Amino acid sequence: MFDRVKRLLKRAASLQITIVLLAFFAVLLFWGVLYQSKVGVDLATERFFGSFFIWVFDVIPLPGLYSLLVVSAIHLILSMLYRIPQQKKSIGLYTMHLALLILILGGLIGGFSRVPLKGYGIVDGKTDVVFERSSEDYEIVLNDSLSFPLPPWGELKSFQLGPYDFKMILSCEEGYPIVKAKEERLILKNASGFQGFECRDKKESVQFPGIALVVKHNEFHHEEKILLGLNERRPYILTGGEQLRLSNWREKMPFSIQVISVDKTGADVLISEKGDSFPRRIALNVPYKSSHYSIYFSTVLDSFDDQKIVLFKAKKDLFDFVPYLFTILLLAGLALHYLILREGKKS
Amino acid sequence: MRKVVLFTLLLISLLYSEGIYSQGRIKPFDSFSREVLYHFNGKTSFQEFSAKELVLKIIQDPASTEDFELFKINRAEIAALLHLDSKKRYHSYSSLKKSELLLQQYNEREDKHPITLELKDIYKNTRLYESLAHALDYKRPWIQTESDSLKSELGLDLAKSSYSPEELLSKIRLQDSTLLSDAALWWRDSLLFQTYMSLQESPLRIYPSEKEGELVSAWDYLWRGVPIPSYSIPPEENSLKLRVEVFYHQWNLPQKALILLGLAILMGFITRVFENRFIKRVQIILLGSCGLLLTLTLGLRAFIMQAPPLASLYEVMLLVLVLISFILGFLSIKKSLTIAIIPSSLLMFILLFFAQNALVQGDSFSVLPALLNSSFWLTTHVFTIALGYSGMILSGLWAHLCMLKPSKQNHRVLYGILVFGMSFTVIGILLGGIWADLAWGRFWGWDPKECGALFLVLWAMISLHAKAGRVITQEGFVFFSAWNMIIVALCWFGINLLGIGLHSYGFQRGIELSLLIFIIADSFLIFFLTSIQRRQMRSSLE
Repeated sequence: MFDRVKRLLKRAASLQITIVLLAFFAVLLFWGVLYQSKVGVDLATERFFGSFFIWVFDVIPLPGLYSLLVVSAIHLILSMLYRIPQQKKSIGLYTMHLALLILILGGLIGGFSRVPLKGYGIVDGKTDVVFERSSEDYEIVLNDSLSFPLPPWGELKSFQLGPYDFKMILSCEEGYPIVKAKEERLILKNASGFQGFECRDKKESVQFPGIALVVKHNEFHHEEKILLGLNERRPYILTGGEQLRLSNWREKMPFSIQVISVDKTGADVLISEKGDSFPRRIALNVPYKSSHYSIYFSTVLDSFDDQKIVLFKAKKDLFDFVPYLFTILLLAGLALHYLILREGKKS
Repeated sequence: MRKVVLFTLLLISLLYSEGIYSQGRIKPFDSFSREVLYHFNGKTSFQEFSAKELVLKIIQDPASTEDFELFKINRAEIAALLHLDSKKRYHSYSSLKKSELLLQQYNEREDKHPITLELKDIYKNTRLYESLAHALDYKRPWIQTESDSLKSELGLDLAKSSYSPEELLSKIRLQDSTLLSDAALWWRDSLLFQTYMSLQESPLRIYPSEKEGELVSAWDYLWRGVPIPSYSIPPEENSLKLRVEVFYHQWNLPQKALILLGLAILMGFITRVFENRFIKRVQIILLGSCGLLLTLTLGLRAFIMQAPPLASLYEVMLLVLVLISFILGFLSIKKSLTIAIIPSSLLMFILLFFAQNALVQGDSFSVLPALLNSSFWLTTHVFTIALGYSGMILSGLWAHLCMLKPSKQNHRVLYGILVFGMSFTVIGILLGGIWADLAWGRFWGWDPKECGALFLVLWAMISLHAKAGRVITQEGFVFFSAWNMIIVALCWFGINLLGIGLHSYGFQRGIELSLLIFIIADSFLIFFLTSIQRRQMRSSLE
């Protein structure tokens, strides 16, 4: 039984399988690139290089990049175990194949764990740039420090943040703001000036995902009914002066960034990290990288009150070292293999 | 003699050293004119005029050039559509002007039909002509008024009825609006608007202004009441670069290299028939000179742009040519392998034939987009990948030779060149990845150009693994490798035809046919050589 399995594994490690896998990769690449010219780089990348299967005519499944990577990883491990001669002179080959294995596994895990972020900051040299996750996770934030994760749309909860008790009375993804509410029950306070809020089933032209809350200060017992919209640029200022906002899940960065000045190609910022502050320029083509985070300058917007808002793009990638490790190992493997071959020829 | 040559060079350089600002860089007026004429009809001169003389004539005396048949129309159906003589390929501005509305409509269309694209080009060319023709409008007396009261109110010369914007603006610029009548005010403002519009569209801009680094149009000078200087001020710090650029275009070094290469190929064929050491030596000298000229071309381009000369596809092609000639030189001198000289020279001739036009026609110096502006990474990545592509191209060529003359040594060299090409392509991809990660935040983005390079590596890996695993025979490996040139052509040029992705500097139009001809011709050659190889094997077995 063991021999049979071993024979099977050896077969799975054969060069014929390598060639078939390489050919699959080549076909996938060729097809994916042709498809890019039809539907654009992003969609084609998602369909061909960001999935386990490609559905031809929505019926026939063909292996996508992820399936090929999984099979290739197994094949590589088997090749290193059973095919590549376990000799000193194969050390270069081993290193190269190990590099490939790291790239494949790192690419697979990294692809799932990478977090895209978006950041926005005000050009005043004081306010920290806020970074949010691009995913559909939201939170209610008090004074940019305390936060409560928003339950799924439609679900209402009560919670406490700092000195305030919050009670959600409405929560809707397809919300409809009312500019001037006539009915008493609708009258809410809102940073953008809306007075009412309704959830509707059918999609309206104006959509305003948001929540209505009753906020009560647990010491002064002052109560106010407020409306928080998602993606509202201004926070709602509570009677006590605290700022409240509904936003995407904010990323807690190991550093803070304040924008000092900005132009079309970049922003001059002050970065505070590990008790140290230093000026930097984050520009097109010149990102700031630290602790697996990469921050890129995106654009600058003029707001209504002459305040400039700087948009950043960022990502958190715990596996950002993988391509570099792959590069180093592959080049080392290539050099070793070449040197060993040369030595062999000489001797 | 040397003094005469030097004096002539100095005279030419002095004559052509004016710098103007256009398309993101300061360039000699000569380059600007070449670019204009190249857009109009793809040529470098028109009748007895050089490009520069012609453009100057359009600027100074536009009326006399309106009937010049300057604009090339490639398709007869387009000429018919524009109600022009479909037998003629060149047409005048005055004849195209009649179809202005139709051209404008086509210019707004979104489709990429070849006829639409050519009509869009024609429209842009007529607009370019117009902007040149109106470039000196600020000096021409085209603003008319007969009203004496208006003239006196605005302080204009009563004896005249036509005024130039320059003259007019100098009078009315500082006039107090509150003292003017409504009619005078309206007339003045409409004049200002018209003048502003005509001057803003002028392609000729003046550089520099009194403020350092500022670009100023003729309008700015007029408005500030400063006399307009000549439209082309030679900025001192750029004068040497500008002179070298004029020299570069006039000497057309790539064309000279092409001639030398052609002669070297001819000598090569002669030495095949008559074993003559002298002719062989001449052949080597010609090839060496060609390599030197190509290296000089690269050097001059680097000096002119003050950056690595790797901003366009043709510059990379030039680098590949230089690298191929170096690899060949190495193989010939170190390994005494002269067998590939003629076929490699032929291949280089074909590549250079396509590249040389683009390297000297029009304004061949493109400004690198800010997104790609990194001297270090641009140089290392492009140089390495060019080295890899050179190896892959040579391996394909060598495989052709192996089919013709199979020998152990040739097979070994083929394997070596393929591994060399693949290794450097891989290193080039990795360096490109590091650059992309530093600049754009991702190591790999499935950009078509990246995919093209990866496809090339996969292709080489398939053949190397198949050889190692004895899945294919030696002949099979040679056959497989023979397709390398086609694969490189597809991954390098073919990808550019898609017109998508971040490597926008590589896009080009109009190479489909050449690419198709090359692919068909090489495919036939491969099958033909395979049949010869099989016949040889059969006869040796018998």
